[in-house]
Amino acid sequence: MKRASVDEELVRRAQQGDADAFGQIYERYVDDVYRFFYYRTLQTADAEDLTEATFLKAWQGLKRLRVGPELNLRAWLLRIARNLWIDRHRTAKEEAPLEAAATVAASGPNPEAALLEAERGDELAAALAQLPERLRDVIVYRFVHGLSHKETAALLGVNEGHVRVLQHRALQRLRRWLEAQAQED
Amino acid sequence: MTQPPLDEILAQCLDEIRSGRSTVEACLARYPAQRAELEPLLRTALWVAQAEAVRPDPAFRAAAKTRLLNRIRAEEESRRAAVPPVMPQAVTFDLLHRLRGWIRKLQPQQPRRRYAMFWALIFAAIALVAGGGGIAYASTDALPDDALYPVKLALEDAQLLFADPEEDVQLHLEFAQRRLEEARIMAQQGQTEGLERALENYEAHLQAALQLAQQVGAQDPQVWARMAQQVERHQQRLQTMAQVMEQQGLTEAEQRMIQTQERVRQTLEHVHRFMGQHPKDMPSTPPAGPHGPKSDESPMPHPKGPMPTAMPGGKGHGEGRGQGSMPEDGGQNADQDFMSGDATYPQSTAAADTHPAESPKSTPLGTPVPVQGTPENHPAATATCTPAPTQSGDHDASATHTPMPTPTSTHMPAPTMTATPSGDHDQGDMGGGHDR
Repeated sequence: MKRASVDEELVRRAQQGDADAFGQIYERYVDDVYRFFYYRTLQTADAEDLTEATFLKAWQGLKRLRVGPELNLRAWLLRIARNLWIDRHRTAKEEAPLEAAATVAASGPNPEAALLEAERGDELAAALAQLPERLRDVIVYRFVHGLSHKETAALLGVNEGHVRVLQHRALQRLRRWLEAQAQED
Repeated sequence: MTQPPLDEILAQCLDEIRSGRSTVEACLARYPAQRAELEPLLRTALWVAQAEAVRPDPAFRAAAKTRLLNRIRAEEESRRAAVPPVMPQAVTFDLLHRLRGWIRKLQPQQPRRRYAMFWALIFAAIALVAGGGGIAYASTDALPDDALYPVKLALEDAQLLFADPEEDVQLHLEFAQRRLEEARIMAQQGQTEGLERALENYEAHLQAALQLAQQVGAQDPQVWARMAQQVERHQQRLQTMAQVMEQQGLTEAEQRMIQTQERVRQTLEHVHRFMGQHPKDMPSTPPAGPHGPKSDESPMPHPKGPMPTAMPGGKGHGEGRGQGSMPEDGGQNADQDFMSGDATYPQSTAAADTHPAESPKSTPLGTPVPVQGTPENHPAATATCTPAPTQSGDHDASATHTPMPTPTSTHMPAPTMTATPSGDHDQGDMGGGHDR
C-alpha cells in the first residue's frame, strides 16, 4: 500500500475519533517533526516539547484536514510545526523582548552551538547552526526532509524561484564552512 | 545559447540526481562552464542528504505517544459528554430578535421609539453601575482578545434590539465590517483564537443580515442592492487581507480568511438571486455577474413564500436534518451552503467522512442560524440550532494546502517534480536581506 493511501486511511479513521490511528500517524512522522525542531533549537528538551505540542495541534486540527489524493500528511505536519515555531518566537518577543532578542540571535549563526554539536559528533547540526534561519529552513526541508522545491516553497510561503536562490546561497555557505573546518582539522 | 542562472542549474541537477536520472559527473559534464562552482555545491548537498539525521530519544518517543493518546482519549470523552459552553452568536441573534418581538407585543399601542429609549437608558445605567463608568466607552476599541470585548458585543446587540428591521440589516453589516477589521488585527498579531472569534462573529452578522433582508426585502427591494454593495466590499476587503496574510507568511490566517470568503461568496449569490427576483426595483448595482444566480442551485425561500421552519422533531445538536422544510433540491447543496438554515445544518452528515474540510461540521465556523421569521411572524418557531462543538482554537494548516507529492524516503526521496529551468524565477528575491 502506498504511503499516501496509508496516510489517507489513517487520517479518515483518526477523524472519526480513532486515537490508535492517530498513534500510527505519530509513529510515522514523529522523526520528521522532531528533526524540524531539533535543527532549529539544537536543544533536545525544546525539540521534544515542541514535537509533542505539534502533534496535539495536529489532532485538534485533524477534522478539518481535507482527505483525498492531494493529501500530504508530512507537509501538513511540518506546516503546523513551522507555525508553532513562529508563534513561539512571536510570543517570546511580546512577553520578554530581551530574552526574545537572545532567542532570535540564537537562530542565526551560532558558533557556540556549532562547536557543541561538533563536539558531540553531530557534524550536520554543527553545520546547520552556522546558517541564518531562512537558509537553514531550506536545507532542512530539501535535504533532511527530502521535500521538493514546490513543497518547500509552499511551506515557506515563497515561490519556487526563491527557494532555488535560497538553496544556492545556503549550499555556498555550508560549503565554505565545511572547507574551513577541513583546514582547521 | 544563454545558460540559465546557476541556482536553476543546481536545482535541476539536484532533482535529476535525486531521482536517479543523472549523476554528479553527468551533470557537471553537461555544464562545463559552471563545473568549478557547481561541483562543490552538489557534493555539499549530497553530504547533507546522506548525513545521519538526528532521531528522538526512544524513551521520549514512547512517553510522548502515551501522553498524547491519553489526552486525546480524555478529550474525546469529555467532548461527547460536554454541553457547549458558549452560546453561539447566531443563536444570540435569534434570541435577540425574539426578545424584540416580545417587547413589541407587550407594547403594541405605544410608540416603540419611546420604549427603545427607555430600554437603552436602562441598559446604559446597568453598564455604568456594573462597570463603574467608562466601561461602555472603553469597550468600543476592544479587540476579541480583550476583556471588554463582550461588553462591546453586548452594546452592539442592544443597538440591534432597538432598531427597525431595515436598520438592523445595515447594523448587522456595519458590525460585520468591524469584525473584519478586528480579524485583520488579530491575524497580524498572531492571535488565532481572536481571529477565529472575529470571523465567526462576522459570518453570524452576515447571515443575520441576509435573513432580515428576506423579511424586509419584499417591502423595500433596495435593501438587496444596498446589501450587495456592502457585501461586495467585504469580499474585496477579505481578498486583500488574505493576500497580505499570504505575503506575510501567515498561512493559517490566510486559509481562515479564504473560508470566510467562501461564505461571503455564497451570501452574495443569495443576494443577487433575490435582486434578480426584483429587477425592476433595483438600482444601478448589477444583479448578476461572477456571483450571479445559478440555475442549478437550490433557491432560497422567497420572502413572500413559506419560510423554512424548524422541524419539531429536530434534535438539538444538529442530528435532525429537517425534512420538507427546504426546497426540494435544497438538500443536495446543503453541505456546502451555510445559508441553508438549521433544517439542513449538517453537523452530523456523512459528508464529513469524506471531505471534512468542506463541511460546516468540520470547520470552526458555520455557526447556524435558523431561517425563520421574527417571533411575531412565526410565534411557534423554535430555535433548534446548536453550536458546532469546535472549540479547539486551532487553526487549520491544511485546508487548502497545495497538492504535494509525497517523497518516498527521508533523505533522498524521489523527486516529485522536475525542475523548471526558468519561468518564475523571482529576481526580486535575489538581493540580500531575505535571510532572517
